[in-house]
Amino acid sequence: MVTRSEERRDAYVKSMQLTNTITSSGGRLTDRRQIRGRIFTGAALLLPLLLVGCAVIFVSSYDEITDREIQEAAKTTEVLIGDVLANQTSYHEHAKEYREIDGALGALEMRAANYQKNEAEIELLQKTRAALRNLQRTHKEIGPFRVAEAEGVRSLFRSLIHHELAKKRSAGIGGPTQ
Amino acid sequence: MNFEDTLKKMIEAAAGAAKIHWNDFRTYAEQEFRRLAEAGTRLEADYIADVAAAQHQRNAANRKELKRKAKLRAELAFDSLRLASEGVVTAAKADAKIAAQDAINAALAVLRAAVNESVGIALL
Repeated sequence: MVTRSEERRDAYVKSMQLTNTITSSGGRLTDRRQIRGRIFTGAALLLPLLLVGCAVIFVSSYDEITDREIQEAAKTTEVLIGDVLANQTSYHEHAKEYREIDGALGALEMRAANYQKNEAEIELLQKTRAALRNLQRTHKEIGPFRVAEAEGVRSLFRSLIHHELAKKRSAGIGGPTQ
Repeated sequence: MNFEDTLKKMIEAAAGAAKIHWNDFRTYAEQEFRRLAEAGTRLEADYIADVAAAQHQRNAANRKELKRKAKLRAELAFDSLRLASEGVVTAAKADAKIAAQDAINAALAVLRAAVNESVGIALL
């Protein structure tokens, strides 16, 4: 004898079986597990194709304006260092140039912050400004600096230029460009 | 699409792209560390000479002031060298990332060309 609760359970099982079956356009019945399997296989095949279609970016692209401005700031700094080392010129003769170089580097830092994955450039600019402030303080509080004391600033400018060249080379190889 | 041939071309393209950056980085890092080491040695010699010159001062106030200036000079200059050394490391890390980026993209470009050639249209 079939009880009422058993009837209800049978009806529920049948309804679940019905919802798990879908009639395709061709009239062929397929269950959900098969459809999920096909979707997964399709995604697995499509994912590599999508990846092949994209280029990976770990470091922001080369920016010609930034490169040019760094070269310009490096040139102004070299003229300042050269003059102080050769002629022992006072701080007051170069106070304006220190401000100009720091301003140019500050503007570059703002520009660099607008690009994603550009942390290295921002860090190098910040370190260059800090080293320049050290050199400025030596010049202002003690007197004309010596060649070894200017090496930190010079090295950081070389690192910045090297970084820009690496980006430029990457753009030539097939990396990201602006 | 020939899998073995494509794989070989992908590896060659990746190695070629990375090698360009590696050669440039090696030259840059070697030169930069040598320069910083030379500057460090010179700063040390300058500091010793400054302190020795300060010792010769008969006036105690002058002696103290010269020593203070020598110390400040050395501190600021060594701080700049520290920043510069960190800068080389920062640039080196970025170089490694750029090399990896170009190597992956070079390999993907080979795969893309192989897929397009295989299907007969510019699919990717």
